Amino acid sequence: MSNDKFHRIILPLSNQFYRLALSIVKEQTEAEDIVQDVLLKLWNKRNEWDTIENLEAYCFRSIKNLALDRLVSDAIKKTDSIDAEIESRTFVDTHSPYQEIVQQEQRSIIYQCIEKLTENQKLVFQLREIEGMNYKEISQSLGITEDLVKVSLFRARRKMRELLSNFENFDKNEW
Amino acid sequence: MKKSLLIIFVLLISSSLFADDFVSQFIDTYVEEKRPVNNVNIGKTMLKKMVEDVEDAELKTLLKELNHIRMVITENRKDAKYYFKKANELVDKEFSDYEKMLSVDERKSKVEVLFKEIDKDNQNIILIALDNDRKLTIISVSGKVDFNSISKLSDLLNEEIFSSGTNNEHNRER
Amino acid sequence: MNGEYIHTLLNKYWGCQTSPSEEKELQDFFLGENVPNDLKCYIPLFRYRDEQQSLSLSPGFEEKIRKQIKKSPQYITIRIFAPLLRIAASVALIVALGISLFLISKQDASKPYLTETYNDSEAAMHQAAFAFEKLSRAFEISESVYIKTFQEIDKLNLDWPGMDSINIEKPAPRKKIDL
Repeated sequence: MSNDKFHRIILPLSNQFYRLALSIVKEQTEAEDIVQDVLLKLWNKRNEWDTIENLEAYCFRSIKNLALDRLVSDAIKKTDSIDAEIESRTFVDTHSPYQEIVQQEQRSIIYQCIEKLTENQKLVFQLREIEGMNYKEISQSLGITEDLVKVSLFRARRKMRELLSNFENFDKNEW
Repeated sequence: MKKSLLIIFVLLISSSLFADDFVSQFIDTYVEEKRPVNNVNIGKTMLKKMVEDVEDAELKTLLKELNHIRMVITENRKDAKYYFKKANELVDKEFSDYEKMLSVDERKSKVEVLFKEIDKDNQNIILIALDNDRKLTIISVSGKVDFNSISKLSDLLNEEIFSSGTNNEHNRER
Repeated sequence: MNGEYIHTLLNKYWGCQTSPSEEKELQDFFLGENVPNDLKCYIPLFRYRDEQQSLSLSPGFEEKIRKQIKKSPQYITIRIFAPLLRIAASVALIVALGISLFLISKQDASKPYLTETYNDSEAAMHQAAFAFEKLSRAFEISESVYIKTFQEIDKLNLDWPGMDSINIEKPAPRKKIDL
């Protein structure tokens, strides 16, 4: 039964786990390692699954914790640089080199803005904006109260709004 | 937390089947049903698995040199005191050829560590500790150990646990 | 799409009152062609959402995990606790008899011992860490007691050289020691 649960419920969430890990460690190989570690550890603990109330949320929390730990212990400093792979992946809809530059600029702007958020805000932002989770799901996945989720999301969006609308230095006509 | 499978055969099997280390003899001779203890035994098989599962090379080497780690713990005040006495009795009776490595008798805690060298690569260490008069810990370690390897093992194992993180959710303040 | 509608929806978004589907609507809009000038500054945000949503693991990841799971050996869990019974004693007794007979038959006559293994090494790791920490703290305690003792002796301000040079012919000045 646990075998089935693992394959049916947990494995399909792998990409979501990956994106969460990636948003924290900002490095693809590392993020994949984290997902692999968590999944295998979870599998080895399958005799304990009965005692865990919400297995999916437990996984998200584990991913978050492991990623944050790796960030600290490996001292990966990626706050300024963005993984080149991610950058190059999204050039599908560009038509010209100029468009590429514009998109690169946009991307760097958004990364800068996100860096200004607090840790909780970043995590809530990630789970809501990218994974589309509702407040309850986010609160269980991060191990924080629903109230904190709402407040964090509110502040995160407000900050983004503020920062983005104040970016005067680019030529919006080209967008 | 974990479901424990309770096996009473410990009391059924005669003592000749037990190893000659301190913890095994202690359980065999002195542990009573009415005074339950927690017993943890990590034998060679498990140690081999641990070697596979850790990443740090130094930790791997240190673990490979161990034969077993055995523990008996009780947090019941009365039992702790009772078993502490019995542990000392066992030392005098069967383990008197061990050297006292250290013995601290403070107000709050009594700790004794005994040591015997079997050969160059094989030592036995026994720890008997009574904390606050109510928690008794008996540890028996066998393998290639000394003062330095013990502190190294302690640091590296703690690091290993910390870096694997998933169990430590309740410690998170994030 | 109605400009006013978008403005309203966007305000709802800042106020965290949009549903995920409404947010998708905004996202689609901002990735399109007709974004009014006053809203163009928000395009990066929705482009970011779009980009990130499509990130995924390298292909073959799930397969890799499945393979690793198949590999993992099954260990028998035997934990020895002197009884505080949770399982009916009779069941445990029968199991115990069974296992003990099995083990007795496997005994190596010259060096009989009990082997046990755990289901996963992580629990064992914690136990081992506890054991070595306890040992290492014992060493530290004794070290600190030694240090304290030496500190106490230091405080006595004994005249070590003086005491060294005590001999019958030349009695050294004897200092009074305040204890």
